[in-house]
Order: sequence, then C-alpha cells, then structure tokens
Amino acid sequence: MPREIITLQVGQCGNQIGAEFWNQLCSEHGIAKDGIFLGAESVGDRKDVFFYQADDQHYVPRALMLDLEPRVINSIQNSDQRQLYNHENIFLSPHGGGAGNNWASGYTQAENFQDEILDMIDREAEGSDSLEGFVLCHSIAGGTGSGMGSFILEALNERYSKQIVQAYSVFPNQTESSDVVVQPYNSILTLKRLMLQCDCVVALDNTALDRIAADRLHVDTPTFAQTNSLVSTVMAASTTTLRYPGYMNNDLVGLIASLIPTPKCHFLVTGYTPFSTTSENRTIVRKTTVLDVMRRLLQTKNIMISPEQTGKMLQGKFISILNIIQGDVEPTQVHKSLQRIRERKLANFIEWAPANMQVAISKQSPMTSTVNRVSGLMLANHTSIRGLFT
Amino acid sequence: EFFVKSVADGDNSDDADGSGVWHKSHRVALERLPPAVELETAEAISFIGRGVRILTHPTKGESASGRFDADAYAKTTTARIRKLAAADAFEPREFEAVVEVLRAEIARALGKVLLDDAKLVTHLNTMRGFYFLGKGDLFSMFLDDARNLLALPPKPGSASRDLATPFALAVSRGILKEDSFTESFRLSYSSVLTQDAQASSSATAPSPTSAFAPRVRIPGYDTWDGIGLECAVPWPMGIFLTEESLDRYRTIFRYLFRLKRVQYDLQDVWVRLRRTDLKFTLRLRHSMAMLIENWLTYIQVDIIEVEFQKMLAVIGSTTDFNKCTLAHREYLATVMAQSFLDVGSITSIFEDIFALTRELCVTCVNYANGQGLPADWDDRSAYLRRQFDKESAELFDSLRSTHTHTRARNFLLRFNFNDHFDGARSETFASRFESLEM
Repeated sequence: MPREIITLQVGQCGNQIGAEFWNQLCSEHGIAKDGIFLGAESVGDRKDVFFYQADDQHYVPRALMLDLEPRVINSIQNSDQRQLYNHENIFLSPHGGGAGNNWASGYTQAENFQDEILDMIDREAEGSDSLEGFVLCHSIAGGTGSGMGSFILEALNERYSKQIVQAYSVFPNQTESSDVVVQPYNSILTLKRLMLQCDCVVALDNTALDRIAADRLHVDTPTFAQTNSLVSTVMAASTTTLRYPGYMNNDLVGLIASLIPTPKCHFLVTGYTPFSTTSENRTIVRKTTVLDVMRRLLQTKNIMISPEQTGKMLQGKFISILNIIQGDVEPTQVHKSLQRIRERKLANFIEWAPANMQVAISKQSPMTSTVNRVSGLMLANHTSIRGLFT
Repeated sequence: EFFVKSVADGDNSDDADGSGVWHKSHRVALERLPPAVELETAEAISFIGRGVRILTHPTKGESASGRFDADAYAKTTTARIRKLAAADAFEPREFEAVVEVLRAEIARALGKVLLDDAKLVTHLNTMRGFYFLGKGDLFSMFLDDARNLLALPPKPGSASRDLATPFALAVSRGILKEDSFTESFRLSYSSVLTQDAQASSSATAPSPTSAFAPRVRIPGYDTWDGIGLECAVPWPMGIFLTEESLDRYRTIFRYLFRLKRVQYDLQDVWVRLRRTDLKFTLRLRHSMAMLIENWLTYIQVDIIEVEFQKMLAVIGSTTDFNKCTLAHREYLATVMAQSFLDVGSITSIFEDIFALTRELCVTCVNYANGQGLPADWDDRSAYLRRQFDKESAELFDSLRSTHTHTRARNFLLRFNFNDHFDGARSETFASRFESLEM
C-alpha cells in the first residue's frame, strides 16, 4: 500500500519510545496487543501506512528494533506486545554488551553488523508498494542511539536517497552535568548526520519532558515510562493526518515540506496540549476550546525544549507553524482563534518572508475514549533552535 | 399523474420512463397558465406529477412503492379536488393551500426514499470525496502512480484509457468500502478545445437556472488540463444529482485537481532538491507552495467543508425533498461563488502564478535528472521571484479590496499572518531577504 513509512527504533530510548508509540497506534486503530484487528469494519482509517497485514486480520508494525544490549527489547518481548512485532525485525548484538555510551562503539558495531541490519531494512522496503520514508527514534547523547543511529542515517542516505528521513531525537539535558562525560561528543557527532543526512528532526529535550511530566501528570519524579509516553503521544498526534486522511497533509512530504523553507533549517520544536493521565477520572471531560488549545500550544511551558531555552524562545521568532488539532473542531472556530492569536500577537513571526501558519483539523479515532474535547499538537520551525547548537 | 390530468393546467407532461421522467422539460408554459394560478403553484403541481411518477415507477432494484401508497394518495387527492371543484367560485388561496399539502406529502415521501433507501448522505459524501478531492490521499496516490504518464503530453486518442489504470488502482487502495457508485468514477480526458466548445454549446441551450450560471474560466496550467471526472449516478439519485449540479461538480473538480497538481509538483521539487544547496530556488518554491496550499485550504476547508456541514444540517432536519434540493443547490452555488472562478482578474492572476510554478518545477526536475541548470538560472529565478511577489501582492490587494465581505478574509488572514504584505513590499525588505545566509 503506497506511501508507507518504516519506523526504526535504535537504542534504549528509541525502543522505549517506539514501544509506547505502537501501543498508542494499536489502541487508536482497534488493534489488539497481539495484532488482531478487533473492530467490526473499517472506519476510513489508513492502517497501511504504519502497519502491514500478515493475513486477513493480523496487523504487524512496519518497525525495526535495533539495540546493542538486550534489556529493553527483552522487556518488550516479555510484555503483552510480544506477539505484535515481526521477530525477524529485531536486531540484538550477539555479545549484548551495549555501546557503553560511546558513539564510536555504537557506530563501529553497526558497521560490523551492517549486512544483517541493511538486509532487514531492505526486506521491509521491498515489502512496501511505494515507500515514502523512514522515521528514526533515538537519543543522541548515549552510545547506541547516537552511534548506531548515525550509521543508519548514512546508510539510508546512500541506499534510499529518494525516501524522506524524519527523526525524533531526544536531546540531553544541557544544564545539569551528567555522569556521561562524553555526552557532548556523542551529541555533536550525531548532529552532523542529523544535519546532512536527515530531512526533518523533531528535537525533544529530556529536561522539558521531565518538567512537563511532573507538571501535567502530577508526579514528582516521573519515570522513563511516563516521559516516553509523552513522546509517543506527540509522535502519534503528528501522524494523525497520515492515518486519518482528509483533504491534505496526507503524507509525510505534505506535513514537512511546508515547515522547512531551506534544507538545513529542519530542526523543529514541538508542543502538545492537553496531556492527561490514567489517574484522572475519565468521566470528567475537560472543557477545552480550540482557542484554548491553540493559545496554550504557543506557551513555552508546553514546548518540549529545555527551560533555559524558553528565555531564548521569547526573543526568537517563528518561521513556520503547523498545528494539528483533533476533536470537536469546526473551521470557523479555527479562524476565530487565528484572529485572536494575531491580534494579541501571541506568536512572534519573522518579517522577511510570509509567515506560514497552518492548522490541520484531524479526525479522532472513534476507538479511544476522549477525556478532552479538543487536543492539539504543534510542530514549529523556530529561530531559537540555534540554542541547542551553541 | 392522476392529479395532473384532472386539472387543466399549462403543464407539459411528457410520457417517459425512469430518469427521463424527471429531466424532460416539465416547465410550466406561462402563456397557458390560468390567470388565478401562481407560477409557484403550477411548478408545485408539476413537481407533484413527476414525484408521483417516480414513486410509483417500478425500479430495477427496490421499488419505492413501499414508501408510498399511490392508491391512498390518489383517493385523498381526488377527494380534495372534488371538494374544490364543488365550490361556487375558484378560490386561489384554497387552491394553493391544497396544492401545498399535496406537494408536502410527495416531498416527504421522496425525501424518505432518498435519505433512507438511496442513502443520500453517503452519496453526497462520496461526491465530496471525489469531486472536491476530499479523499486527498486517493489523489496523491494517483499522482504518484501516474507520474510518468503525466510527465509527457497526453496522446489524444488514448489519454482517457491511459488514465484509467492508475486511477482505478488508486481508488481500490484509497476507498476501503467500495460500492457500485464509487466504482463508477472515472477520469476522462478531453482536450481543452473540446471543453470550450461544449461550454459554449451548453450555454445556448436555455434552461431556467442556467441563465444565471456565471461564466467561469479555470486558470490553465499545462497540457493535462483536460482531465475531468465522470461518474454514473445510480437510480434514483438522478433526481437529486441533476445534470446541472453535476456540471458544477465537474467544474470545481477541474479547478481543484489543477491546484492539487501544482501543489504536488511543488512538493516533488522539495523532495528532489531537499539535500541540495539551491537556497534561492527552494525559498521561491516555499513561497509558491505556501500560496497554493493556503488557497486550497481556503477552498476545501473554509468553504467546502463549512458549506457541506451546513447542508447536512438542513438535510438532517427534514425529509422534505424540495428543501433538501434547495440546500444542495445553495451548497454548490456558494462553493462556486467563493472560488472566484467567475472573477476574471483572479483567474488571470492564478494563471500567471501557474506559469511561474511550472517553469520552476520543470527546471528543477530537469536539474534533478542530471541535466543541470540553465546557464542564466540566477537571473531567471530572480525574475520568477519578482514576478511571483508581484502576483502575490496583486492577489492580496484584489481580495482585500473587493472581497473582504466574503470568506476570502479567511485566506487573507493566514496568507498575511505576519503583515508581510502590508509593510514588506519595499525594496529594502526584499534585498535583506536575499542576502540572508541560511
């Protein structure tokens, strides 16, 4: 089925995020944890972008799970998701020692096993009718996600130059000193590949994720599972227009091309609102209007980059914004909200070119219970992103 | 049928079967209308006659007779007429009242048939999905598969056939629950000359509403402009989706499809050049894509989506056939009007813009295929940029000055979100922009 996307989950962080992402997608499309489709009939959603059908009712994620140490992948394989994935799409290094937070180790190990890894990718690609692109999930400060991730980016550039590559990259905490001394080196080496061999990078900041998790989910010290679920919510939301097609933004190109005016400016920030937890009483439906959502998306506290960045955000300007709004939404409400935002100058745009402010209204899955009437995601190209590099 | 015959009126009633019943000219002959009878009433009577025929007509599949008890209706109708005839003088008010009651009953019955048996709402959704490109992914897939075909000029003899395969493929992938209606959609190709001839010939055929149809001109893009969309409207939807309304659907499709192709070509340039160093070219592409996409969003979301929901609301609140038809007609009329296809100046602007985008796309595709850029590309692209900025500003001015009362202000809001078009047309901004090292 055309315009397929292959998801590559690399390293500990990448695989945790990925697992949550597939969890979310399965519940949205009515697919059980073992891949069997539970719904009665199709509701007009396109499952075939991210899943392929093994047989009539069995859906398999088009995903590759790669890691150099077995802990995370094993826990996935022991979880209730174990029958979901294609077991031939899992790569674990035989010696299972990990990359020791060392970019070079991650990179060279990938190089050593490149035949096996590239075979996996080729197999998935051949199984697609017209592959649109790859989505990479990883963190850039460790060893596997950064080193192996870099190798894969280079390989994709060589073998699949026509396909788009989008990355969800978790950036390290820049204020605290971490116990990983070589963090900056790992990051910089990966950033080079993200700049040259990637078409769109959604920058996610661990500190921001922690802060948002603490704030919104009302926990003091959020677990990795909780922060990862924030990321997977964002990933799922950014793919809704691909999975519930409407007039436009039905493919990755459509989403990304309008956000990226020049090739190198492809690092995006993202925000999401509102987050809800399982602990909240689901019978209470929060009143969220379109204006509320769109306004909050522009607030720095909802944007997933680190706090000292937010100061810079206030000085910087937006180049382009894409809002994906889900739920009980009408175009007239969107128009009014845009008017308000413009009047109150809530979004500071560049002056030297027409601002690109797009709002896509997306259908919501009928299968997930909605606590909130309206929710929204923002993907934006903002000049303050340079702060991540300095 | 019983009623029409029993009242001497000025109607023409042709005897025909099936859908012909509806579309044969049932116009009231004004000269033969008795003085006390209003035109509206006469049209209502004509409607009743046609409606009864439809409702009692044996259809191929389910017959509508389950909904409509023709005999009972005839009995009450005859009784009412007899009562009127028994009065001493002709009372126009009472006559109109009786006619209205009879009309309402027929309208309700027809409405029920369409809504429940014929699934009117599903069909309207399908029409929107196809003719108004609501199923965006279907058309994206088609453009993907037909890429090689569309890169070359169409072969006059076989163009329609060539389009059939990729379109059928796209439909089978994009439509998850196919039915006979969705399967009947076909792309057709006719050269623009033929289309113009058809347009002028249909303009000569008189009909009550076509006299008010605006003269539209769709901005031209390239050799494949002749692509149109056809479908086979299943019985009895033909009484609702009349030839006139289909004409409007077809016109809007041609416009939207053309815009979509421009958008697609511009996106294709992004994909091909996304890792190159052609900053100026890509920024120009970005501006062009922004305009086209904002315009498409305006037409498809601000206009079509909003009007469609309005129409559905009306249809959902009544089973009166006439009310539903009216809502549908208003829906199409608004979409046509708010697309400004009848405003020559705006069509010209878009035509100029299309020409600029085409030059950019063709040049970039050639470059991506290894042919290199034309030697004068720096100058040429600067020229394209200046022309495009000029056209954008003209579009902005034109919409702002004369159409702010329309919903075009939705487009203007997004297009000019950062007031770029108010302040920045001075030379200083343009030169600052160009010298930016990004």
